[in-house]
Amino acid sequence: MKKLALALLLMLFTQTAYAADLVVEDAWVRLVPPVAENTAAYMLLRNTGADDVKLTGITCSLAASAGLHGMRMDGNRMAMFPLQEVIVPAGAEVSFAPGGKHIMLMGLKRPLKAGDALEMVLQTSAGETLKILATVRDMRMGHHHQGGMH
Amino acid sequence: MNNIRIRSMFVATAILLAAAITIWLAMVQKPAVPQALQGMGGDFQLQSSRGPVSLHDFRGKVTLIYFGYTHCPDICPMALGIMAEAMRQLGEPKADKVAGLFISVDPRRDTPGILDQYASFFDKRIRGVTGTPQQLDKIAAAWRVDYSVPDKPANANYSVEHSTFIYLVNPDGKIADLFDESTDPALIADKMRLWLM
Repeated sequence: MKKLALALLLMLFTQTAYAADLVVEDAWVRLVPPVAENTAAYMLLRNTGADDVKLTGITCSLAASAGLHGMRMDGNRMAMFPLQEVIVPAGAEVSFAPGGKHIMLMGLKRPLKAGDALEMVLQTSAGETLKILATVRDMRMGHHHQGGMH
Repeated sequence: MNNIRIRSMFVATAILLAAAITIWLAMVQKPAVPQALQGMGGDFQLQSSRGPVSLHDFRGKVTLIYFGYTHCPDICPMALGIMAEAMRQLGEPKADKVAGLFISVDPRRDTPGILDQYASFFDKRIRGVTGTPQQLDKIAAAWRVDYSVPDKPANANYSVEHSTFIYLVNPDGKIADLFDESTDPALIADKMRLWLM
């Protein structure tokens, strides 16, 4: 009986993630110098559903590896660290933005171009995936329009 | 001429004179280096792809300096973008009076060749330099830079923790102000302008 209850409880908790409830807004990638091997991607994730969504990872075919990263001050130093999971609470939003949580893209397979659309795939704890198209933006001032800044 | 007329002329002259003195003072007086920054920084020599670069090469210019590394995905490109924008805002007449320096604390991966290409992407006036770990440690101590490079091979995907100051170095080679990647470039440009009057 106890086992059944536990199984039911587990089912209840593991089936509460619906990637379809996630709305991705303003997904973009920072244009870095052609010699740079790494860059970061940013976006706003809005959970329109009634259940929390737990993100467990991200992949990008143009990068040797990709990951969800956090940022913290370690004394005077800025330190990045991998996030095992990011929870987007029901009815709330999570922002990946410069200087904060970001998507780290390591080992770019070719130099990026402003305006390129980069495909990334988010994974949730329920085993679902969510495809994202992020635009490469040239953040050097005076170049904004090339990168599609609004 | 009556007395009132003479008096008002005298007052007007006095006001004009006071205004002229104020403007003259503002023009000749250089801003002061804040107490907290005195004794920080100092000359150094590092390597670029076009030979050695020393801080004293930038005498007479206002220079923005940042310590980072090219594998840095977020904060370093942000900081260099801010520096480039501040330099751009100073405009054409002051174009050759401003300079930038990107010092990599990760010489294992950042060769001078890579660094110059990386830095000049943001602004042609920003040079990319680095040195030996010993040289960098010495400069870091004098400039109060805090960093740590993991003991990993160059082909490993490691990240470097580092402090994130953007240093404003005045035409005498002294650190005059500190900013970071979240500072408004217009504010940095204003502070740079003070040293170029």
